[in-house]
Amino acid sequence: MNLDALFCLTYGIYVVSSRAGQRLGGLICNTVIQVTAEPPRLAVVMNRRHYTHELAGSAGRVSVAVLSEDAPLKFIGRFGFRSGRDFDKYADIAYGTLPSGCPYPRDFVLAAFDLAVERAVPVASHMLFVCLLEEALILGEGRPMTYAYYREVLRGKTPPTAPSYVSPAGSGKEQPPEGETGR
Amino acid sequence: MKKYKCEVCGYIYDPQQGDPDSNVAPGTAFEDLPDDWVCPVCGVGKEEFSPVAE
Repeated sequence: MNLDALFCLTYGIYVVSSRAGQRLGGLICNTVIQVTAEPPRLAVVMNRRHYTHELAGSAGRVSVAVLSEDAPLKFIGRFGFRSGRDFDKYADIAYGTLPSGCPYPRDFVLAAFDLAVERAVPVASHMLFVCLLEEALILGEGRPMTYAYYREVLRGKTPPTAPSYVSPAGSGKEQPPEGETGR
Repeated sequence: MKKYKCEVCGYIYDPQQGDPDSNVAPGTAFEDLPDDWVCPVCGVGKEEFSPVAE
């Protein structure tokens, strides 16, 4: 099995956020796709260890913000790599709030979606959220950032909790669903 | 030699360990890292690092 074939898949780069009460969380996600047109549904996949997963599970709501190519690595790094359990990712940055209460960053974002979780499907280490689209906003002009742009132009990195991560050993073995707190 | 922390992702550069994945030998002070060295975890440059208070 040549795991390099997986690098032929293309993705975008998104900030997925949720809110439970006063607790806000967000993460960087490449796994967001539209799955139906009428009504519009999106699928969002994230690691079950993440704080945002915990918030999304209790709120039943998530937001997706589409990053633009001008988002710097520092901005992306703020939402990735560290856990919202240790660090308030929405502190000190401009953000908007969707009707569900879920936040989205105001800077470097082209569009935002407000989603209601219709079904949550556990997939080993990850959770597949199938969501109904409740609101959609255009917030800027520019080119949406792709995963390839993030990796090749920005030279961004991929943490071990991402679905697209391939370990240096490249075993392709399944990650356990639970374990020590993710990044 | 001082340790330096990446303010974006929290990675700590320990000069005693260096950064073998980027061909930085153990014992390399942060100041002596090449200008194009980047955080091995999140990819930002040296300017995002701050010394760790001992």
